[in-house]
Amino acid sequence: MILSIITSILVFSILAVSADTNKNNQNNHPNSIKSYNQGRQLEFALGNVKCMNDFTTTYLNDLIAVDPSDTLSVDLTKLQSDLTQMQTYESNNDSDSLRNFIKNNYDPDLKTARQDANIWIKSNWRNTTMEKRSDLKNNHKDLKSTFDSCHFTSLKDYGTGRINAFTSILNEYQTKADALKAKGIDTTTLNQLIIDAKSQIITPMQNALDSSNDSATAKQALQNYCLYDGCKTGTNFHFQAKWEITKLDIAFSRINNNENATQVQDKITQLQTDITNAKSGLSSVGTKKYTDAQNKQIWDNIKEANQLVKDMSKILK
Amino acid sequence: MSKTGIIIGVIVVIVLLVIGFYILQGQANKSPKTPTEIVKTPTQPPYPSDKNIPTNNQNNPTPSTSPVAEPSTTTGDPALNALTLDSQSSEQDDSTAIPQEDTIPTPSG
Repeated sequence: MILSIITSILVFSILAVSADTNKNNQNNHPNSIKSYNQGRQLEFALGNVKCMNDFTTTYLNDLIAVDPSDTLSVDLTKLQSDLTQMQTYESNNDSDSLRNFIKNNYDPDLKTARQDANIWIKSNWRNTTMEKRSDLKNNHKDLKSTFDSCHFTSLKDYGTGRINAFTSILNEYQTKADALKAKGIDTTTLNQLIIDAKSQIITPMQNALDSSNDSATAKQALQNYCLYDGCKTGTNFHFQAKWEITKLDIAFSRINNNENATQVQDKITQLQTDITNAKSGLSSVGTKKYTDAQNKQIWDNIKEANQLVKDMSKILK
Repeated sequence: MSKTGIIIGVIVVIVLLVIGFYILQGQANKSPKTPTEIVKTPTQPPYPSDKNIPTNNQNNPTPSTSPVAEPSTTTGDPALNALTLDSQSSEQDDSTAIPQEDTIPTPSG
């Protein structure tokens, strides 16, 4: 009997400590989802890079085996070290660095390797025996077939990862909207924004990806739909700006209906101006990518409006 | 029986120590006031003039003369605070990380 009581107390103590730990973990939940999805996206992005790298480096090795070339060897070493660098970015979940490295280093290195390979072929093709030419052609054919399949699959995987990431991000925002609703805030417009983001970005991207039947169409599906501001062509939803402006609209309405609003009339007028300017800027951008000037104009107004809301929140009950 | 008794005794002491620790920790978190403040509060009300505010002041408040009507002492609107800027204070770049150099070398001939 005594033992059962003691055991119960022990179990209770363990559960209390466990509950405390779980509470702390739950507080970090949204960030862990975001980093998880970012990590998955980078993993898929690197999968695509590996397809290209495997093809090019194997082909360069084939050419070097026929006739050694210092230039091609340098290219080969560069592509291999590039891959190592990109793997480091992936393991660090550093998407910005990976993106910049591909754009500024890897793409130029691939281009150089391709040009050097073509120069090698022009210089050596006539001196190469028929047998070796045939081998090179056959190897290239096999490599290209493997590459095409790998490239297409990796792009589709990347697309699926991107869709999952966008979905998780919007779910996080839905949680934020629900939390605001629990504080007595009308969140109809925020909920609608999330619905719009799904219908204008996630659904069409999923459809485009599902109907893609080669690398070109899969790549187009990936590059045509951005939740934020990453698409050179296609649709940029600018979710973050829209979310903040929608919240500012709600705050403005709440402040304007406050019985003490006259105490902060100047700030209310300025808030309305800032919101109008931010909306106007966003409207002129449409679904295109921001220019630097547009980015600054929109976000300066959003930040100033937020400061005004903060100031007024201290004054108004 | 005596061995069992010792084991039970040790376990009870450990459990009581753990529970005692949590209770003390909980009390420490709940009572940020210093002992001095606790003593002072009943004898020194923060706004002695509250007692002198006429009852009809509710219909005709005079903020400039009433110490309790100072706006800066209000707690504000927490709902408004919840509507201010999220940690992300600019649009993210969500462009794809894919090599653009799609052209691959082909053997001629």
